[in-house]
Amino acid sequence: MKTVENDKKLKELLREVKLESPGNDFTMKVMNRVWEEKSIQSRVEVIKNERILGKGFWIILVLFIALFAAVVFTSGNSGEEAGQLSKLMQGLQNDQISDGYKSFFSNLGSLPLSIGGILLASTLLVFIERILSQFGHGLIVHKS
Amino acid sequence: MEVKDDIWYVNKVLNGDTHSFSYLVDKYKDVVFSIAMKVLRNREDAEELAQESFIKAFKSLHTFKGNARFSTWLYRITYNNCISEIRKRKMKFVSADDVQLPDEPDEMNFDGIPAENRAKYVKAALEKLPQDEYTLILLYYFEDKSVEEIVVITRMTESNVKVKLFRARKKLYAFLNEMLKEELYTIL
Repeated sequence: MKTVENDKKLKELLREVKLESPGNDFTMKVMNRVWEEKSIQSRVEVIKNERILGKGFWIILVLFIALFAAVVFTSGNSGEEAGQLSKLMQGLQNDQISDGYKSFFSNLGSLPLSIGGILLASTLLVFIERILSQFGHGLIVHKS
Repeated sequence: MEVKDDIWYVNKVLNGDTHSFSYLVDKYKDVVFSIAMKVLRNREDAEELAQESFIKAFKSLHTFKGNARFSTWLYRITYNNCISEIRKRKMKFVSADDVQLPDEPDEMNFDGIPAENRAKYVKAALEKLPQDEYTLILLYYFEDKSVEEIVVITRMTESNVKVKLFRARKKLYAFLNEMLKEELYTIL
């Protein structure tokens, strides 16, 4: 019984004791670090949410594939006068647009294949550079 | 009251109001700092460790489920930080088991302590306690934590906490008696 009383008194006594306090700017220092942490977290979130391959990349890729296919298609049939594509366009021969297409693709057919190769290689390089930069940025954020 | 308040602020922080975290820092900085100070015995290091504890708490706030009180969860982070720091520095965690228990009575006549000096004496006696006992006394008497909550914070067994608390109390009384005797001698 006396121990319980003593316990209560000890509690009261301890309440009178003022605990050690950190410096006055402690909360401010913690909050500054919290804000830093928060900005790092949001940067990581942005990187996580950002798609590696953006919309522009896919548009360029589709255009490139179309162009490349056209080049291969027309150059593969170089013996023929206008190539397969122009045959497909025969129904539209009276049309000025089909004439334009025909001349465009026949001109493309005369281009060397190395141009296609250069385009393909540069696309690949852009793609690799983008992946590496994203990866590297993620690492820097993670380290900090 | 504490539960509602703290959880309200925790939810605010989780919902993007980071500034609300400063309320929690202000509320618990003294206890967190006192625990760190007792372990590291250096203000700068203790401040650094206390800051680290709050940053860790902020970073893992999303894992706080509200099953325990926020303070219990925060003190557990602080206690773990202290243990890690001691291991890192290869310091010795002064435990109650390493200190010889003085052969003193389990009770104390608090009325014998002059009222104007009570806080001073108790503080001085508290500082003489080893790290683990100091933390237990701080949590149990100062922070009103139950034995179960102290078990969660320190990961000691319940019986261990009870034994250590008993020993800490006994030691505290012994230190106080000693100081009173010294004062009496100086008066005489």
